[in-house]
Amino acid sequence: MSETPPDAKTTPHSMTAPISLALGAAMAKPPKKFNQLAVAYSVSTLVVIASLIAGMAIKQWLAASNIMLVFLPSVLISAALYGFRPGLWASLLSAVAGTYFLSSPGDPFAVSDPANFWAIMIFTLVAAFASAMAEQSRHQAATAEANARITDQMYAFSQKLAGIANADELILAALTQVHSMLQVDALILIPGQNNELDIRVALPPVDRLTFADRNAANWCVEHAKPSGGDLRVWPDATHLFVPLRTGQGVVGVLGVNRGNQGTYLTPEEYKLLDALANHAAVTVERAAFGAHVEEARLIRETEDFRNAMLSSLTHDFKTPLASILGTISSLRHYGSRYDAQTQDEMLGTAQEESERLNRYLGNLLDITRLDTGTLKPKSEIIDISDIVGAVLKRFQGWPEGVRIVTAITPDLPMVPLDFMLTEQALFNILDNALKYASYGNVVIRATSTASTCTIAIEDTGPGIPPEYLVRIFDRFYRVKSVDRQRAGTGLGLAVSKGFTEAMGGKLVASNRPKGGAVFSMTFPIARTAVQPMLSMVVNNPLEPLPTREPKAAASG
Amino acid sequence: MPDNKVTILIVDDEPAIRRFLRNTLAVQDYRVIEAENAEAAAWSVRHEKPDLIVLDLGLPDRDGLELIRDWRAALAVPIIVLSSRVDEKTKVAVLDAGADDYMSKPFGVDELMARIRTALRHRFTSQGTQPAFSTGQLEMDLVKRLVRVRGEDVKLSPKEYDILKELVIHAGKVLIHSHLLREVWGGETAVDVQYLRVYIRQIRQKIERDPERPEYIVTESGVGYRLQMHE
Repeated sequence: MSETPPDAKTTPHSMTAPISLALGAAMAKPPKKFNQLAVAYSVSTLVVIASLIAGMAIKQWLAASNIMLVFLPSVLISAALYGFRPGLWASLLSAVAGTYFLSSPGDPFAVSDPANFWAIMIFTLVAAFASAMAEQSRHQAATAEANARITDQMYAFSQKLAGIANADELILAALTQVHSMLQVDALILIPGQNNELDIRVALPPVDRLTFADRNAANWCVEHAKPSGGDLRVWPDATHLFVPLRTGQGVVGVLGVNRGNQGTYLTPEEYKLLDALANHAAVTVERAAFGAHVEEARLIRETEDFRNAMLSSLTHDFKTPLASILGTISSLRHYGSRYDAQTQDEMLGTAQEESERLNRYLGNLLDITRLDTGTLKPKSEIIDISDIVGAVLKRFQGWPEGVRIVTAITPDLPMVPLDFMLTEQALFNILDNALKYASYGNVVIRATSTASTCTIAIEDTGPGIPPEYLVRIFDRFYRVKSVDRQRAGTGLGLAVSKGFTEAMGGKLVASNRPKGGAVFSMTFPIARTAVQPMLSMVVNNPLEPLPTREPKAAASG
Repeated sequence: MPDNKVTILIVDDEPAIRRFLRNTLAVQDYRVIEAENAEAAAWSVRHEKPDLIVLDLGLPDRDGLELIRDWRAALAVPIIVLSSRVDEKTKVAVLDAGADDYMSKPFGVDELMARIRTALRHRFTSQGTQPAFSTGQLEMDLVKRLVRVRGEDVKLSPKEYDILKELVIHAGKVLIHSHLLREVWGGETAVDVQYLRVYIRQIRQKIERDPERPEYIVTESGVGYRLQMHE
């Protein structure tokens, strides 16, 4: 698109006008309608007639040569209300009416006294001049008002832009402003891959540009000058294009189009368009900058994540491995010197640590399943107490010192869940709670409302600092630096949250007023959820649960 | 409890690691005391006067590196560091701060026991350097400036001798590159690790049976060298 169109020498308007000059549509003078003219001249005439009547009423107290002053207010009123021409009309009418007072008694329109003649002439001049002045001040007032309105709009516009963070919304907001202030169809083109201009956003939506429009837009970017519309550069283009210029050069093109009427803008509209284009340019730049920041943030997060993962792998694999290897090598070298009890204790350590390593590996695999999207949760009607029972079985004989207490609402509804995932999610939360609660009870509480069912795990640990309540679910995240914490705590909660959300639930952490943390898993209860047929009071979930037939009920 | 047993303090927040260390050391007639965090460790060092400290770097309340610096300033207890951190920077920092040895987790207990013995022996002999030293088939007489391997005299250049002497004085202990450079070359600033590598290579060719598989001067990758003790 490097060919130069027929006449590209000049552009009709300097596009660098500051915003205070951008008077825009408000100042474009539409041709006055006949009605408006009729009203203007009629009112002016009536005002002069009123002055005439007033003049006759006070004639006896005025010197003949001063009588013309009576008409001056009528002229000023007409000029102030309707401008120069009605004002001039009022002056001439007043001059004619004045001759009535100043003429000789026998001949109403013959002014015999030269002094009176001059009085009328000077009055007419002064009145005409006053009309011109009134017109000008009227014009200035209108200008100031229009200016104020545009400034208000632009200010509101900037305020609005300042509140938008999303790049697409930013650019759309800028375009909407152009659309509404200039009453035009508008679009913004931004160079994409291979520097081809792409329609970033258009009002109303546009899929593609005509050949002439595309050429005009490209020319506009290359030369950083307006093109198309009523300019001589690419006059075939239906749009008028102005470059979006920033300190870094042209970041895009703003195109406007008045549809069938052709895109002809008044000089004031050009100035407004230019001001709006400046705004749009800053907006586009800001949007691009925002995208860069977002990209950089993503890269940084990925890097952080990778580092956290490496530290975690190092620590969480090596710590149990160190215990296993140390224990086994000790047994191998000094086994004969150990008594039976010590040998058993050491073998127990090796077993526990192997199990811990296995759990950590399981979590790592679960996280991978979540990440790769291969996780397909089932939706079966599940009894929460059943899950709690299964989890407690896994903890049997394990926790030392801390008691696990269950508090499950007797008539808890059945919930559509994936049994294995829910069990693992609950297990990890409980595992975490037991790690931090060194005394007291860990309570598993299950409650329900009309639409949700909640399993809460309350512990008596130190609680979670408020600033970590959300981050605690991040992968590989620990409240303290990685290898200062117990191994294996960096993934469990992330898995729990991932599983819970995969089943449509929510997992949040909070602190109890009395101290300790509480993790709440909340699941929606489907409308078709089958209510338990038996009341389920489970005081000791390790006991086998009473047999029930929820399946039969579910199918019915 | 005034008995003659050597007391070893184990500082680690992992109960499983403390458990196997405690058992392993106990059957070898060491007295073992344990600390699960830096605060408890500091208390034990003050009140129980351990003969050696086995320290995990990642403690819940303080970084192990700070503990080493604190202790080094005040006492001469050998410190063996255990850590799952594997980067050379940490190793160098730990040794530079004054730790006697560094072991990466996971490790076999026999290796740790050997390091503990070396550190303890060093502790009991470091008051005055022994004029004569021998390990395996390597002998060195620091008074007569003689080096003998497998019964034969070895001729070393003055720099080679100085390096070997420094390793022998700290036998069994890792000497970081900067330590050797400082001790052997003194204030010369233009000397770098490359020089050291060249000299070590020459010494190995003179004293090792197979310089590619050294028995005496072993390399601690990226950290330094150690004179391996043979029992």
